[in-house]
Amino acid sequence: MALTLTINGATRIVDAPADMPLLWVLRDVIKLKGTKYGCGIAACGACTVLVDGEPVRSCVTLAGDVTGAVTTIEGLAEDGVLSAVQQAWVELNVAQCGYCQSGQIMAATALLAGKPDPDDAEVTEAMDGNLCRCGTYPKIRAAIARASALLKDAA
Amino acid sequence: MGLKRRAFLIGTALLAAGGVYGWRRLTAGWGDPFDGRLTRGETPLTHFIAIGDDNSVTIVCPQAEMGQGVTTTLAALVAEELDLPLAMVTVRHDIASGAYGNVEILRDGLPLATDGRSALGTLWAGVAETIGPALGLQVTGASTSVRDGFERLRMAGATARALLAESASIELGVPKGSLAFSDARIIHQVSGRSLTFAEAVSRAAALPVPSEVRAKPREEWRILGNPQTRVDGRAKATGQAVFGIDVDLPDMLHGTVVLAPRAGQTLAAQDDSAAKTMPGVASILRVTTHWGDGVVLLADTTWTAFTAAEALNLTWADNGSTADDASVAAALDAALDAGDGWVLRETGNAARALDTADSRAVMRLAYEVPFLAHATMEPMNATARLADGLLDVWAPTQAPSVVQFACARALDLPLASIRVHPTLLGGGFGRRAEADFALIAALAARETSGRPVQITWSRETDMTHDVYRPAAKARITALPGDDGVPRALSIVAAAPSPTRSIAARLMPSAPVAGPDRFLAEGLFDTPYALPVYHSETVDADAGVPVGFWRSVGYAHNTFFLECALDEIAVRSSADPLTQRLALLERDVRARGVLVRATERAGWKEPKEGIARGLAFCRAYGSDVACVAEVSGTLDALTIERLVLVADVGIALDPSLVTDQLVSGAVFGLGAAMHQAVSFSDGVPNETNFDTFELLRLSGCPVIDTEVLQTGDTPGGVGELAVPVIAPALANAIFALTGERIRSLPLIGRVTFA
Repeated sequence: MALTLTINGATRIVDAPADMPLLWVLRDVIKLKGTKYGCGIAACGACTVLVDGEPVRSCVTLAGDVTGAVTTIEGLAEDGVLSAVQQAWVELNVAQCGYCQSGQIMAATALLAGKPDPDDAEVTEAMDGNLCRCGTYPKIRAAIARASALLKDAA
Repeated sequence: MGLKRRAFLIGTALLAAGGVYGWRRLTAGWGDPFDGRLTRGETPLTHFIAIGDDNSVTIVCPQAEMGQGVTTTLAALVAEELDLPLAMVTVRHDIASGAYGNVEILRDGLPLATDGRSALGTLWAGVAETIGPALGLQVTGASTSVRDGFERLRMAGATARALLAESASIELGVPKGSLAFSDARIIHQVSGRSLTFAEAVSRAAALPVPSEVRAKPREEWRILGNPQTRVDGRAKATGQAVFGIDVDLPDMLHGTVVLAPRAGQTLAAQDDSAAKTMPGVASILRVTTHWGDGVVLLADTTWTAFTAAEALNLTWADNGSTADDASVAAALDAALDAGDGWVLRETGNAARALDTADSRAVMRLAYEVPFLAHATMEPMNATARLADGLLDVWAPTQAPSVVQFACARALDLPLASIRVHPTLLGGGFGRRAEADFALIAALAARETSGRPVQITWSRETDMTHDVYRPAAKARITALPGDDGVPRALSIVAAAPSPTRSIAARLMPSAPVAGPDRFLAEGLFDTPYALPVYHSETVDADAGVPVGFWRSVGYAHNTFFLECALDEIAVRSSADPLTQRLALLERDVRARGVLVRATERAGWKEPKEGIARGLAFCRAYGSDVACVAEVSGTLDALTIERLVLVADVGIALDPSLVTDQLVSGAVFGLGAAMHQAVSFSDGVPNETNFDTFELLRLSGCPVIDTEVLQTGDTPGGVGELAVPVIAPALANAIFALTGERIRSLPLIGRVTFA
């Protein structure tokens, strides 16, 4: 079945069943591998993408239900220039194994878009659904603060 | 000559070869690992470094990058010797070869303080016998990745430098001593004339390899010892990093596997009529694994395979493991009752001292810990292709050699016909030292006429078919003395043996004998000068496959020992710090971490509403001490802060070392607070992150760290912090509430605020 999806600014006509989760359309049909499979039940956040700027667990979001614009980790950098969140992540060496970090970065991107200067509680609330088995949590907090500062400088 | 002796000799031969570096000699018998893998007109200088005609410098990282930052540190070791900015070094992580055998892991695993044969030594020797005369064990584990690379990569860099300098000296007609290295150029400083590495490399590669080279002394380091930007940071922040699950080959089939619910269970009947006819399903195959029978579904997408798996109607035979929590506890108790374990440390006569003491003075403590899952964020997966008699396996593996070995046996292929391509790992923690996930992909690839197959396990399959951290029980008997130093201490611990469990999976026909150091570590090798001490470990087969889990035996044995010491200190009205310092009177380094950690935490300055607990561990050539601070009550407990101080000898990258301390602390904290895998009728009850809880951001306390460097070699750090967290916390909870918790996880007895 043909689905029409807007992904990272481009319209894609995709041959996939409407009840296939967006995650698998991205990974196995469109071959955008940056979005990760972790649990399949929206319990870990590794598959987080943005739909119209809102963080969404793509493993439980049916592709046929997606009408908004999808942004994945591959869509954040523009012409090789990293987004503020990505830049902060690289500067602070946040990623260890890195598997969960696409999801972490997407969740942090959504947070900062709505709250450019989040306090600790707001960071906790926005990021608590994203698991990291390597325990990069203290650095995730620090990198969100750094990205917030970078965004302020750029404004 | 016994097997252990033989294995030890193999290890020693490799160790000796590592000292005076001769890369051609070391690679002899393995072929050139770069063969067929060079790009950009590269010329290899040693089997770790290749120079491209575009003046690129590429190094091979033979160790699995699973987050610890080994690619960054190994690149830094070479960059230092070649006076290159780290950013100019490209790291390859995809080459497997026996030439990259891990020397350090042999050093750790083989010599065991016992007259008996060690289980691990027997296993290695058996593998070596099957693989061939030389043991090229490319494995990442036991916190050895940087320790193994430290000499070899520096020496590779120094060798490459010597060859390039010699080449430039001939080409420019100037003495070697007048040449400087900068930004991949060799510069004659007096005349300003220079050659790029690319210009010097062909002659360099033809020169005789110097028999001895000297690495830069530590005083001259400019990169090492300083925090670096991770070489994999950008790829991991942009979604470009390729994990095993991201491998994508032309014409590849996506699949998954359904494994028997119980370990060892076989399939009685298979009705796949509904699954077979689903759109996109290509084929359905039967495989046999260490866990029992399995069914592989191959399809156009992973999701189609997952969906088809749900549509299978499988009837499992009434066989396999029937382990449940009661049977596991009974097996451990029976092992403890039977005694007759491996005594790996005996100082004085603890049995007599304890038997003859006034029984009212003797403390008898029972401790226990549950099975645990690895729960790597990337579920088990691998990709394989079998074409023209050649098997290629792309896998997120900690052990390319083990994958090669297991596939050779299962598919009856010569080792030379198997190529392993390691990818990045979405977490390892010991789980990916196994071969099962690669083997299943290889078995499926046998049935697809050359089409590559990728097998991705569902999270549920991953969590319910792990090789679990062993459940363990300990009986501790102690006679307290002055200053909290026990006059006699006996610790007898029972658990299933990971080495024997692994051996049963790798070489089922050859059971391994001897003590398993992984059951005993943390008890027999503790630096505490216990005056009368009996350390014994008993193997207990509980019907559950077990394996290596980050920090392995140290994880549970440190909980037993450090909590027991705390109980003894309390009984003797001694300060737990004074007690430990008394037990480490002549051990400057161990005292150092204890003193520094307690200073940072303000151990001697009481803080209103806060209680503290202490724990120490020596492992992997490093020392670590932890002070946990808690507040509240058993019904609403808050972990305020963890203070961790480690002495790692040399920190080649202090930032990465700190990251690993924090990482280990979070890993240990999640396990201590929440985690357990329980069994009902042979089937694990925890199936996903909703029931096997990982620590979240909201549960992560302040973690304060300090890294001490009082040695001349780097100690291991990837697992170091894990073991001290649970005992520090349990000891703090006792100090706060008077409630002694002797079993994990804490959540059974404590509610976290």
